[in-house]
Amino acid sequence: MSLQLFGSSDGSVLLLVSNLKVSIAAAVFSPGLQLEIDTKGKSQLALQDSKNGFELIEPNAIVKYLAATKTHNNSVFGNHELIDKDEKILYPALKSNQIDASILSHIGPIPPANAEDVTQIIVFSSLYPLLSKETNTELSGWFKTFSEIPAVAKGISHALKNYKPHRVPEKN
Amino acid sequence: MSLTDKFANLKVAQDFSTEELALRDQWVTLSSRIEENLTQLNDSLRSKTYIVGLKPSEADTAVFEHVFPLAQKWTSVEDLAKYRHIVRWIDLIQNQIGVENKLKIDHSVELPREVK
Repeated sequence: MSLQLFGSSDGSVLLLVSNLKVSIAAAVFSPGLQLEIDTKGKSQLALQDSKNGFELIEPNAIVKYLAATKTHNNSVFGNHELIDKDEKILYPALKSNQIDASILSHIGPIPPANAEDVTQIIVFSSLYPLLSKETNTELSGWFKTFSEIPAVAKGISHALKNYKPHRVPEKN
Repeated sequence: MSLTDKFANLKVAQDFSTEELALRDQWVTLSSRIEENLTQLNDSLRSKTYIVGLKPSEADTAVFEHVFPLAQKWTSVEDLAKYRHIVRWIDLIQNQIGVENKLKIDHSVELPREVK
């Protein structure tokens, strides 16, 4: 296989989410491809093809590319309401480390758990920091079912390996 | 005529490979936070005419809209050297769509050799 997948971890929530997205997508669509995480946080998230120099650095595009190459279906590219919400609502909240249960009202319902649905891989990963702790929300049932799909569980396990979260100082 | 109207002059391609579609999606997504990704954009354009390769796409218009105002502030040799491939690409796009206040590119400036 000429594809390689590199992740990075500096303990930030945003990088954890990025690693989760690509690691789950790799486990679901390309089981021979495993995320290699640079725990020093120096290298960047990237999917690289050593055969032709092709490179992607944006996690949602990597998820879609892995899905499209597996299914030979390019319809994953284009507009998806949930991915739009991921980019416009969840990304800024994760970047500023201000994600809480109130954000779920902006996400709305999610279809039944399906590991091959790229929108679910993307939204699941972005909500992981929240829903892995908050177990009593309207999306908790979907989150639990999705996380227990064997390929998803494998992807989560790879992404969480060596992850040491930043300690956020408590406010008085 | 607004910049958005002028983009109609850029004849975007309709047939893309999976790799090109992935690159198009990636840079449309990153266009709204392009300041964080200028180095990666410059590196990517090192080997490409347009953002996805040889064909113009919606990614060129999305990124141009966000990068063009930033590039107006790149006046030092350091900036021009650091973002040389972006500047070359801006010059191509601005000439194709016919921007009025073009980015002035001084081709006589001697840039330091690129370290790859």
